[in-house]
Amino acid sequence: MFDSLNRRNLLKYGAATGVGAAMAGFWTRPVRAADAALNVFCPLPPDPAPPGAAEFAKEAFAKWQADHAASVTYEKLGWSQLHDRMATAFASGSAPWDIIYNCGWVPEFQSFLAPYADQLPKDVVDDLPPSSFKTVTIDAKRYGAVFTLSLLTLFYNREHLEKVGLKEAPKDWAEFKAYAKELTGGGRYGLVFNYGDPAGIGGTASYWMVFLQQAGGKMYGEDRMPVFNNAAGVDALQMMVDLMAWTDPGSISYANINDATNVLLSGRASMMMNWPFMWNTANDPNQSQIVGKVSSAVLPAGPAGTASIDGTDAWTVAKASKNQDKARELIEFYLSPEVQKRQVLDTGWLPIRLSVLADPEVQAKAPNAAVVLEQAKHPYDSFVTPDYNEVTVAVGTQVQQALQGQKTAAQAMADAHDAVVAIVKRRG
Amino acid sequence: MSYARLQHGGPLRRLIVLIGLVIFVIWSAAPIVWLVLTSVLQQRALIQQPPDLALHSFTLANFTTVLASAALLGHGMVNSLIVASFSTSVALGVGAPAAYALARLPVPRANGIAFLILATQMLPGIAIAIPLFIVISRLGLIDNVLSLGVVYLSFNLPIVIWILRGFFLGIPFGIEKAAAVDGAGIFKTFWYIILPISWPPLCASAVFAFIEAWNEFFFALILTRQHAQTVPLVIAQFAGQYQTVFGQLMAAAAISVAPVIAVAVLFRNQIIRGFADGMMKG
Repeated sequence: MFDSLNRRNLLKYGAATGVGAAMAGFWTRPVRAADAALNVFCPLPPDPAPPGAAEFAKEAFAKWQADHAASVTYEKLGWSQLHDRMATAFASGSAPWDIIYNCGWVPEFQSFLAPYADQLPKDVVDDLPPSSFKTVTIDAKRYGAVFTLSLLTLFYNREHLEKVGLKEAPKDWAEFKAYAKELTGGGRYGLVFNYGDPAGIGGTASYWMVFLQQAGGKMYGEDRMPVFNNAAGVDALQMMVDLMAWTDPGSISYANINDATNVLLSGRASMMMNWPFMWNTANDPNQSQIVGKVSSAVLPAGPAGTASIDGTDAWTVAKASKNQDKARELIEFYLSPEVQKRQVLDTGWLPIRLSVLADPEVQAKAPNAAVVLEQAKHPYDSFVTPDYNEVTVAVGTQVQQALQGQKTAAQAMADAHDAVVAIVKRRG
Repeated sequence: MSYARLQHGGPLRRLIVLIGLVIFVIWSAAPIVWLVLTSVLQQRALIQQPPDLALHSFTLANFTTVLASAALLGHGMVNSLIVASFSTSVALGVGAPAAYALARLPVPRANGIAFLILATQMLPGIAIAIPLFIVISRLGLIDNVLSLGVVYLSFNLPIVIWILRGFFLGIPFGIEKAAAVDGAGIFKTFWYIILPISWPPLCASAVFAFIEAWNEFFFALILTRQHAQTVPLVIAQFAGQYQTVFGQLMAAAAISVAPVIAVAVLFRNQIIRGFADGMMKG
């Protein structure tokens, strides 16, 4: 064979191979030239992923593609890498996606997104909690639709509480402290948090935002300048400092909620704030030692009542997408009652549609759904801004210093306020 | 204190050396041992403090789960192999002559050039991320293993040049003079005399470059999509926002480091000699 390998033969064989490959592609590729090709950028399961990317509603998804003459490709990535890939792709002006998962980054990437959610059908919008649009609405335009109700609520080890004679979850700050104190002892702590990472949703600053709203405060005023350096801000931080006496000391170094969750699941702590997805993990015998012992409740109320923050897992549409209408239709499919129901039944991620949350079958499968629904009746602002990461680093670092006794709550709040003022002024 | 004196010292001195070596070995091996141990423990045993090391806590389920999704891991390993092999071979092919030229030929300001080559390593990756992405995107080479290999070449090549230049500077001039007397020109001297005696530093720099490319994460994250994902990206996918499956994460890591460890063990003598020789001058 090698004897006949000259330039002419090489070209001939190469051409034949090329034609063969092209023909193979012609015959094997589905003949759907008119199909709209949608590219969806999403997290990998078990983080919240759409049908086809996660194992649910697969038949309905296949039918949707056939009915809508669309082929959907998923680009899946580990959650912690999503932001960096998006930021690079957007900054270079070559993001290839039609639909993009977002989590509190909508203000940051607003200029690359289309306000498609303003065109969602009325029956869909009416069935979503109005507050779910807060983190995706900028200048009265809706850039996204949250697809899972993911609020922080209180998870607690029912057995631990019963052992010290406590029948139900703490209802207010005073009870929260008393419970934490009562539950601490014998190598166990009343509480566990992940205060190791100051930034982002679920970071140290965002826990403080929970307490801030419970104290009746808020991050920004009407002029978008920070307004938290007041009694509410200091009280919120002082509450966190007070709780540290009965909080697992490792909390200050746990950078991820998984680390704190593992402490609760191993029975080394009795209470924690966590996201709804934890319900499944806590009741999985392969991962938890407190199966059947965990309960959830609305977060203890501060002077202004209970409050939480929102995980803000939302679908957005790229401004550069050539199939924006089809992309919106696909998101409507993701938000349809059937898909939303399968989402919670098969993956554990709660739906966002109120009608599905109220479904008895859903409430039986996810007993914490009713608690999250109740929590959603109260404030749950995550205060996301285009510079959310920078702001939360500034605030979270000050909160960490207060938690470690390096500053008083008042001093930390004053310093955090000054830092955020500088950031906001730079924002313009 | 010389090695000979330590070797022939009294029992107390030898004991101290032995204890020191044992501590060093434990210090070095502990992460690998922990990785392997974690990969065969159940999640519920891992979250205990201390971890439950009873026999019933051990499982191979992490490996079977990871291997069940072997397409992903296997694909990542093949991509890593292509990228690492490409950048390593080109870095050696280009770096060895460059290092020799900077070490031996009358190149004006050779030291300055060598320093400039090293200085390219001082630029943080994040600083060039966006321009690099734009260039590669406009060339239509996003999600392409070879474009990733070229990017890795940019930080492997300077290291290879510096390791080899240090070695070449240490070669006695007499060897090259003898070759010249026999009529060998620069290219022949380099090819027939210098390269054959440079096997250890070549191996050392090759292994170093290979490991660097195999482990790289940031550029792989931004320059790939689905098809060109390398092993570090695949492993990172076991760590989610709300759930990290430590056992599977470690099982995948254990499988992926195996080729690197094999390469390092296979060439261990050359690596040690190579780095030792390269450090003589530089």
